[in-house]
Amino acid sequence: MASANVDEVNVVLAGVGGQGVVVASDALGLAAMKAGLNVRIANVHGLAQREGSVYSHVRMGSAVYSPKIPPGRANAVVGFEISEAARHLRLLKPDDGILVVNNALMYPLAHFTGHVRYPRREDLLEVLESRLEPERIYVIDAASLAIRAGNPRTVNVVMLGALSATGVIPIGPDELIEAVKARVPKFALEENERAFWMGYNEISGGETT
Amino acid sequence: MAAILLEEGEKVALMMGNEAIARGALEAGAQFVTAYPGTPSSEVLANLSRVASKAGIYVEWSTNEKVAFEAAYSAALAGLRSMTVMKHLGTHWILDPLAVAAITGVDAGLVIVSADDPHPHSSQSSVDTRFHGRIVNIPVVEPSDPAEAKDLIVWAMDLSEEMKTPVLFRYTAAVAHSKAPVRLGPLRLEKRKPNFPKDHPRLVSIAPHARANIPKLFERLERVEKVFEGEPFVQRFGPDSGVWGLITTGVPHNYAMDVLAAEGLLKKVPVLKLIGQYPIPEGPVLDFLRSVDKVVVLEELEPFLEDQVIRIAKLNGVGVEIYGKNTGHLPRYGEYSPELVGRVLSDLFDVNYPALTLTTSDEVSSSVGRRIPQMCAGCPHRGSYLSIKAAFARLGVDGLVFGDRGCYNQGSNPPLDAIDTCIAMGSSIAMAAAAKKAGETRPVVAVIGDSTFFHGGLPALVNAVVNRAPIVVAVFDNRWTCMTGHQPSPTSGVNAIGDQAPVLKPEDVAKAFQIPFVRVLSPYNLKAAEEAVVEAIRSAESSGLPAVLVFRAECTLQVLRRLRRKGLRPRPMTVNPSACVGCKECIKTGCPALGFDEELNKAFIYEDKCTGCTICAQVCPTGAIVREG
Ligand SMILES: Cc1ncc(C[n+]2csc(CCOP(=O)(O)OP(=O)(O)O)c2C)c(N)n1
Ligand code: SF4
Ligand code: SF4
Repeated sequence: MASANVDEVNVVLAGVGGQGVVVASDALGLAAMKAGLNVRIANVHGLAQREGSVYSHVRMGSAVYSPKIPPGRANAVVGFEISEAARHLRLLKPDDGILVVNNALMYPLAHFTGHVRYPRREDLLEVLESRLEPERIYVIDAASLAIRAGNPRTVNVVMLGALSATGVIPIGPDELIEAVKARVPKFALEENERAFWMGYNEISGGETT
Repeated sequence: MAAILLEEGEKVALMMGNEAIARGALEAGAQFVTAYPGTPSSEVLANLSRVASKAGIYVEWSTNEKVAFEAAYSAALAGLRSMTVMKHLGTHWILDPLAVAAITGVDAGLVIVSADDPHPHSSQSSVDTRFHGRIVNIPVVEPSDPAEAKDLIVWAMDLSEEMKTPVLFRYTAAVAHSKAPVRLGPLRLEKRKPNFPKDHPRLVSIAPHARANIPKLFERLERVEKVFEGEPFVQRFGPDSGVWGLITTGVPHNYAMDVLAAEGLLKKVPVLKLIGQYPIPEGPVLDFLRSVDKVVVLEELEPFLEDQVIRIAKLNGVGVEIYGKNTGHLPRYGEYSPELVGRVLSDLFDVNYPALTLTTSDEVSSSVGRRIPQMCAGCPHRGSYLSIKAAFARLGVDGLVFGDRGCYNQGSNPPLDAIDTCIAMGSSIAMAAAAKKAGETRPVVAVIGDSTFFHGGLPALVNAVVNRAPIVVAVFDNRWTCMTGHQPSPTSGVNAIGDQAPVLKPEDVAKAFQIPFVRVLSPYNLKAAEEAVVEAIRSAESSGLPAVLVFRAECTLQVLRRLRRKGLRPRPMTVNPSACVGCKECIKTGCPALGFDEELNKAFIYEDKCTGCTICAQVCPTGAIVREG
């Protein structure tokens, strides 16, 4: 599947501090590099430890120069959280960019105090679904899958598995798993591998044993 | 990750810009590296410190940037290749000694790494520090991506040593925090012995000596310009001539290349990338200007290159049209983006850049409000602020709180809304004292973190004492420099490479400065802390001198990390729904582990986030918040 003559594939990974966006983006970047692709990554962490938005642009291919994805050029937006996915919708390719999104909305504290109002999860999801044809949007419950994989902190890897199953990225699932393993703690290899396949099978319809 | 820094042999690694700069230092023979933390530069020394002992190089987190610079300068005079790393705000702090170093020159390479934050993402201002090199007349260079950043550290170090001048290496946030494949070069681990010169006419820079040495500075600059006329400091891409041409530097170069690639213009539009920017290499720039009809200059922040390009065109009678910030086509503030560069170039070139046609989802993207940063769940600063607010309330006063730089500046966000200013490192104490001296009648409190206290607070505290300013100075001592990633602070008891160091205590400093009221307290006991703040305010008023409160509790994140390494977890609190009356007092503390169920009209606690600090329980009027389990 891997090939060095890919022109340009762009993926946005977006979430909230603590969700493991940067680890996921590193894994994707490492796998792409291993597959012989040119890679650029831009990370914006803001104040990640402190409940801020975090996103990463991963760009792969021979026609890629800058680390940031121009608007309208993302092949996929992977949202680890719905409002963070919505924030980056504008980067999506207008005709065939896909959205992979974790069906969870994490309200900032300021929502509860009334300083910033966030929409309801169902309402925001509905807006997203109204913008994209059904075959371009994948909604998964990554939190439950991560728990089933044995560690609630593996949401990021569940999302990578799901992205992998959509076939948008020029890297095979086994190569991506290898890169994930190179980037997560040694004691957590198995749960991360399970998490990857949980996400993968959720999209591909395969069975996780 | 740091292991890659010492790897030998042919290898390409995916590296962050700051990691690549750390590797560059090791390939450049840097033997003495200093820094003060600051986003987006901090990962350079953080990475180097992990391999310093093995590499046999000296690294330190210095007390502030001026000290960091002077240390590196001294080592470079003694013959050791040296580097000092800081964010742009720190580069402002070094100008005084830097201007002298420019005149004395150096004996070994000295590179000043200055990280600009054009957006700004995490700074209070966004000055273009290329001008700092310009005004003291030292060479200025800038990389456009991590791979070039690594190589440029080596080139800059060699240039510095050869030309005997410090070199300013300016880069921006987008290079610091992006990642790209970096081809490793040979390591150069120097073991030079220091030999500090006794060269009075040069190093005792009194006025007559300075007058004698200043001309040499300009001779050096002329030689540097010759070097900047060739590769790698100037690079040309594309055809030999064209209607349009681009002069680029830094990350905007790559935004532009993306546009040219997408539009099939790579073979039509010549590009001149200037890595060496000051002194600008006039020859290559002039050749380039003569090869095109119109040129766009792309650089982040000020028209640093653009103004020089305009001057060169004018003095040489070249009629090329020059587009950029002077013509209003590009902004002179803010971070550039692929979108901005795409729009400007496609407008000027009159081509349709397809990336810009999709904006149908803009309103969805902009419908989601910003995530307002909060101090972490369990953060000690929360209790410190709550006690200051409670003390004001008890005294019935609307006191002034002069804030400072650090995690605690998130106390300015709602719902805490606890500080009235946040300016620059150490400003809190100086401005608070001045408020009183100017006649302010309300109680005045200065809030300052431990790292900031030692960085810039000390002279201000001395000033407050000797000028008798009746203020309360609240030092938030959480043992680390947290805002920038938990680097050691003078209060940590460890240094950059993890060796033990003395633990300095702000209260000892205060006592040495003869401050009569000095109290150390825990931010997690709100009642006692409130009482101490009240007493401090009264003491300041009655003694006419500053009162110092040291709120001491280690940063919660650091505590949690240690717990986790031992396989332990904190015991969270929980809300007893039958006792909760829905008053929201708890969520007004701003702790992000709290939430509120509007249907049930009850608060709740995310148990995976709660550290069990009990602050919310202490403010709950009905005792509804209790320890779980
Ligand atoms: C001149 C300058 N250098 C560096 C910084 C970056 N910076 C912001 S806050 C801070 C220090 C934070 O440490 P501390 O005062 O101990 O507060 P904490 O974050 O630990 O609460 C630093 C280094 C800056 N703002 N200005
Ligand atoms: S990192 Fe530490 S000091 Fe900073 S907000 Fe979090 S707990 Fe507080
Ligand atoms: S005890 Fe309360 S204030 Fe402290 S971390 Fe838990 S929810 Fe936040």
